[in-house]
Amino acid sequence: MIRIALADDHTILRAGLRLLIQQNPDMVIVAEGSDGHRALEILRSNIADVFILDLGIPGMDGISVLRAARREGSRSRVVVLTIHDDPAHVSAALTAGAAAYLVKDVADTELISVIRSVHKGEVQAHRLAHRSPPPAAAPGLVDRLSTLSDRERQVFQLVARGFTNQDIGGQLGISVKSVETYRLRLCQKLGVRTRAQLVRHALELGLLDDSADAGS
Amino acid sequence: MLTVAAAILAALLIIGLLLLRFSGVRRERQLSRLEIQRLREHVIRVQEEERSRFAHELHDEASQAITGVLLALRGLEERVGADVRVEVARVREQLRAVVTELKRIARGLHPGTLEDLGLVPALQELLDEVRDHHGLEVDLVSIGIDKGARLPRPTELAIYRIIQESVANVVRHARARSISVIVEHRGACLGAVVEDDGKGFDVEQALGREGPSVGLKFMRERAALLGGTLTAESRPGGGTAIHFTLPSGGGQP
Repeated sequence: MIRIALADDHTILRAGLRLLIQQNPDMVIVAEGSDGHRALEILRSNIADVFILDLGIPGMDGISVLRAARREGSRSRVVVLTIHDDPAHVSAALTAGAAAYLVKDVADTELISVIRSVHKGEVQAHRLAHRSPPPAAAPGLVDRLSTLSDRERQVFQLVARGFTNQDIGGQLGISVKSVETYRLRLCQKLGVRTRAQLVRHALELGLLDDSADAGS
Repeated sequence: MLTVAAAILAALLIIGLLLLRFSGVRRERQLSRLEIQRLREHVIRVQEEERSRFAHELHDEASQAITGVLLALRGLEERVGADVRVEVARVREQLRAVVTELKRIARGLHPGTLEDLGLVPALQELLDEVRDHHGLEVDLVSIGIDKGARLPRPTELAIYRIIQESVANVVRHARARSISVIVEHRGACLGAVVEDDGKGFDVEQALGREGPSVGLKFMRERAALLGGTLTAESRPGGGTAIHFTLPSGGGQP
């Protein structure tokens, strides 16, 4: 029998948690709380095998509850439940002593299995938001830079610095249309399609360092 | 003699009254300009407070309530026959999609990541969502902004909102394939460029009338309120670039 305690101040959510857990004949709810201090009390009493804790609980925040419980040697395994889905919150919770981290939107499918595996002694972090990696740098970048004419290099640097085409035209004494043409040509030569790619190349080549001069 | 004196007195009186009246009018006009500026700042503040409140209601209250229902449904799913179970599972999927959507709306209203983690993570989150939701290619480059280094909250929020609005315009109107967002902190200045490769628009026309490009004027106003500038460059058929700068108000990068 897995003894479970719940701590969350949101009434409807807690009712849902209760209903879900009660469907399982090998699980029983032994305690409930709706604020951080009560949560810490329950953790101290070691009455539960698995403790489901809302990180955003009022009174005493979830992370502090976790730390205090761990310091005092609580034997309950804590599943942290939260609305936040980002790496910073996850590592904070796991470092403070949580056995698992679960985002509330997927609690309905994952909660029971997480409770079971935590009871067995496993640590879980639920899948996190996927961050797109930056595009890889193109090879032979410095070589390509040398294929640019002086004008094209000047335009390259000024575009990367964030100047408008009008400003660039003013600084170099050429028309906006010329600026656009130079930019198109230099992008083709460097193999870049977007402004972000252009700026990245400039960064890699050190063209945006403060010591670099637009006229050089 | 008396009539001359009387005439002079009368003239003096009239001049005196006129002076009084006009100086009063000038004072009123000066107050108005300052008051308008204060009103603009007030409108923005109220708007942000409201957004924050709505976001909280959506994100914390409504979506948690639905999650409670989802949990209860999951419990029910176990107890019903196999044929009904499939239906219940489908209902749960739909409800979950509702929660995801609510949270997405809430984040647009009040970017919690901006407060918790700062400008660049918040922008990355914004762009990831645009990519996932609208299929656009997104790319964020930040220069001179250290991880963990924070700028004054009003500056971060203003830059975020202007970029958010620019990006929303691209999604709504531009029919673009990709969006580049460059943010740079250089000295006392925070600059950003939002560029897309979409169909572009006539900038002069957009800034000169009411209608869908009220957003552009409002962005420029918001930048100006903090002492910054906003410039849009666009050619019909040739993409758009919104450039803006704000004084960073903070320390060195």
